[in-house]
Amino acid sequence: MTSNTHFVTFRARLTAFTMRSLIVVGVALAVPATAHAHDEGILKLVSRTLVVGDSVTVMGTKFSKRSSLRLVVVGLGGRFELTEATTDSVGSFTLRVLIPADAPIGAYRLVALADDGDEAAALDVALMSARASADSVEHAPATEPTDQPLALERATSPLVTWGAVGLALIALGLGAPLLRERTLSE
Amino acid sequence: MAIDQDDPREPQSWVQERFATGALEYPVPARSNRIDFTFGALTLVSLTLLAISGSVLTLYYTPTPLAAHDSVRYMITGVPLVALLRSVHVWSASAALAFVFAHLIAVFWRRGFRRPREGLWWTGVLLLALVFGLAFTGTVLRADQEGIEALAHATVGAGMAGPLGAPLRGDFTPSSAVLTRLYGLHIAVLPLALFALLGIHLWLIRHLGVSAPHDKVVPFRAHLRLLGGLALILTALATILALVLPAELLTAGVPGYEVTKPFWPFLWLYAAENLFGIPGMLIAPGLLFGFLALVPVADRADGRAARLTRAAGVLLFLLMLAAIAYAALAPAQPHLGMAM
Repeated sequence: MTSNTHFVTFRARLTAFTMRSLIVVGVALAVPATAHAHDEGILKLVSRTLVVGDSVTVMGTKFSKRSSLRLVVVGLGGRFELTEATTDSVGSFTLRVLIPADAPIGAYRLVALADDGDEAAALDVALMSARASADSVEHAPATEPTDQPLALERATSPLVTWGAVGLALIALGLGAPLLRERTLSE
Repeated sequence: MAIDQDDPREPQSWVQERFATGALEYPVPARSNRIDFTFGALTLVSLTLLAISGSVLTLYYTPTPLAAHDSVRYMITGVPLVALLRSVHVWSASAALAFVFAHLIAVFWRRGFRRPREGLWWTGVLLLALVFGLAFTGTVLRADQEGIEALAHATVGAGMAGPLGAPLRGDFTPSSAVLTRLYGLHIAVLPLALFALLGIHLWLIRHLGVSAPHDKVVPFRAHLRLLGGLALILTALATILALVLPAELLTAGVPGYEVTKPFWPFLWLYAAENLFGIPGMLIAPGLLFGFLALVPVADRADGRAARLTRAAGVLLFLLMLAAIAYAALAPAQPHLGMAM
């Protein structure tokens, strides 16, 4: 066999391998992701800052109908089982839970666990002491979601605005001659 | 005219002698001064603007789920210079994505991926993926409604990616939130990877040259003057846009709802998800990046395969444009079982 034949065989094998790989990747991408055994739901709280030792209303929607959920808070301070919830005929629940008084303050996740132990929903929350909560500005309560931008009063300063305008003009003034030079040289 | 650095008779300036600026005299094709050869450099300029403005934003940003939105809000309402730099950051991100696509199309059209430039093309494709990754993680960091929706998509995507996606799952560790981990990706992991790949990409350009005939050449210094001019103008435009159309912020995100549309470079993925559900979120990028990876293998020399590859590329590009237009015009639609 000549080296040329070897090369042709190698290329044919490479092409076949490439085609097989493409088919495998294509099939893998086309196969839909495995469906979850339970629905992903939504957890809602009036405020995401929770006070230890206090009770809070937790609302849940869009979960599997008539299913059991365990509500836990998980964070660096540990894992605390809050309560069990059972969803109604439309997959919702509302209940009041007590945040353990001995839970260390800090950042946590409020998690709804399905029967199989999978997370059905989660929400980032902060646990605070009653005193810190009273001293702090209350976190804005969860509002209805919207795609509208906030009407914020933007911080402005004449120095920043005119400084930026000046720098932009200098950049344009320096940049334009360099482009013109290129046009002339063509 | 090039200066021979070894010739003792050649006069050298103080700067040239000490900073080896004579090395910029190497010849490049005269055609590289055409505008379609400058998109790559303009992407680099946009990335530089992103790095500079982003470095300042890190001083004011709090990467925790409950404080992130407030910190972005403070940037806008509390510190004029930071508010301006945030807008420059957002406009530069748009510019980087627009230029990287323009660069991709220009190189694809002139078949700049053919031997010996396959490595150049593949590093470019990986850079494109990284730029997308940076834009995606940046969106999440705002923690507004759009950011929270993007985060939900990231978490679902991570779930489908198996062990590889574990670091982006909520239950990976209780010591850090997913948003905090995405912040790490945005400011450290992805920029480092981008920097390394960019180094290889630029090295290959320097040593393999751009894909243009070398019949007429100019010194690289002359090309650099053009790029410098374009860089200055792009910086000026980003600043003016930031002043005239400052970047917005939506209300703090409410998890479980999808009422917004994504940042424009992701609209084609949004359209794919509208049409095919969650698998669409994987099929569309898989198709794009799979095709891009195979281009140098499929199109090696003129012939039927080359014509087919070009036709497939044009079709894919037109499909992307159509998907972006459809997603921009169609009413918002919830995915992943989220409410609206």
